[in-house]
Amino acid sequence: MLNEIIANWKPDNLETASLAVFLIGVDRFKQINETLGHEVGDQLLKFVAQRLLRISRSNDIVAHFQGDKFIILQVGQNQPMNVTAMAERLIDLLKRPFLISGQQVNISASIGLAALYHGTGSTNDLIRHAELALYEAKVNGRGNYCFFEQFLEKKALKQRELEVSLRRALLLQEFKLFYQPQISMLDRRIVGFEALIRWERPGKGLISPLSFIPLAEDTGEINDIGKWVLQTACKEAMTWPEYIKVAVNVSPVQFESDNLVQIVKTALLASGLNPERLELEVTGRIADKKYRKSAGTTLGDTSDWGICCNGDDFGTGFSSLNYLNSFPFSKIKIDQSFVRQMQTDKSRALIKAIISLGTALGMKTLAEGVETEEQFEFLALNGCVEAQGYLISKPVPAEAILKLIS
Amino acid sequence: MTQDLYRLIYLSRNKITASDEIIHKEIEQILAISRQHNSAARITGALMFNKKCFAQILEGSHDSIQETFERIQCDPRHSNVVVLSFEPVQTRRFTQWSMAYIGHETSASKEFTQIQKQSGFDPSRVTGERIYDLLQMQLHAAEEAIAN
Repeated sequence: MLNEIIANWKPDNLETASLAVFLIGVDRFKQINETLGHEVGDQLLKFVAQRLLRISRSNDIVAHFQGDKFIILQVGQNQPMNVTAMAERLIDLLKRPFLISGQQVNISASIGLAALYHGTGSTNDLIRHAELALYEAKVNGRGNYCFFEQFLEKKALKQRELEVSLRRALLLQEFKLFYQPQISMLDRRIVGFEALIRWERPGKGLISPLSFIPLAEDTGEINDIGKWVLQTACKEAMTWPEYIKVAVNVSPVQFESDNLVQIVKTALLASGLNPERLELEVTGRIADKKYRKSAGTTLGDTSDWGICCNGDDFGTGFSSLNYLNSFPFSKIKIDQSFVRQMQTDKSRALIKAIISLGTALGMKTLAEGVETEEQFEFLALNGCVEAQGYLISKPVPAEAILKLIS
Repeated sequence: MTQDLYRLIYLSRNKITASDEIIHKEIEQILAISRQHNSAARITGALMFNKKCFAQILEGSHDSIQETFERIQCDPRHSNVVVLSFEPVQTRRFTQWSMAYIGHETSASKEFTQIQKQSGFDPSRVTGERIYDLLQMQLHAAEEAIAN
């Protein structure tokens, strides 16, 4: 019905007339459903709809769009002034508390806006443009509105292309593992390598994991990619001397699937790698309540087989002290931001504190991002056990490893 | 939800910026409408106003409070609504009042202003209990005066 109204709309005064779409999305609705129950969620949507109806004008059209989204279609107002004022009002209104099932519920809403003749040329594109704008509003931190602009279309197109090529990258064998050596601070001998994924996207060169791993986590592709990384790293490590370990990064999203334990087991069996030579690196994100339980169980199992568990980027993000207590870590990796700022007293004090924390808890410490002799000396002097960084070597392709260790 | 008795206490910021006379008229109108609505919905309560803020208590069934609150929420004459408490209670306190009004000239309202100043106008530092006590005391005094 909404589409028909939009399609059949005829302006009565071309100078001022416009047609504007507000696409209103309740932020984090899934979490509300999960924490407060579906009944509260359903009631909440009912009250949201009621508030929208209450403050919209008599010739506005209010409709349920899908799930946690609503549309207000505004006809013939002065745009874009009217939409932005109204959007602000809607955001404020939905931020006010709701009373549901004897409790107070607080939400926020994001709004995507599109208006005919103001960035949108055709009625056919109105809703789609509002959707793109809503997506952008959510990316920008939720609880605000975004008016559609042409660049959003290009951005979405680029994102879609990236998604499509990421989906076939594994099949087309476009991923490659690089390895960065980790040395013992006592004798500077290589004791292990961290496997780092690179994507050679045809025509676009090497792509950093920072720009495709978040997308792979979003689409779920990370499970297959993670499996490939484990299998490949274990297989390649078999060609190295027995005393050298391999560290593999595991995304928290991988813990959401039940079969990570099985995947690790299969990778070990297929390659014949001794479990004690494998290290799984996780960041503080596994402490998030979404992953905490399954990550704890999985890492408990893998530790029982002798696989080491490393706390990556320690000292930043979610890595609280409680996190050290909740997972079976055998090594903590001091985040490179501390090493980089080692000239400051504070960073030096923090590094010392992390090292003594590790020592007290019986965990090895490894410093990341070591780039100068001075940094190396300071770390060694204060009891840091291992180091990794450009001072030792940048990440190298598998073919270059044997030369490094000989 | 059940027919159990609930009590809601909330604060909000006044958004009417006009002369005292016009504000007074607006408040009269708010009160008239809420009294009319409340007696039909079997809601009792009190409204306190001190130019900067509103403090309101509503007593009634869960669903009627919910409905009334939703109506109030959409009123553009206030903003920054903070719910101090929403909980089941044993008895009504404001039995006689579909909406008692405590204006800015009363001692309770002056104390309300004082509380707000002390808390730095931070609603999270004002407790529902405090507002409840204040309104209750003021009404008690008013009821006594009428009785005598």
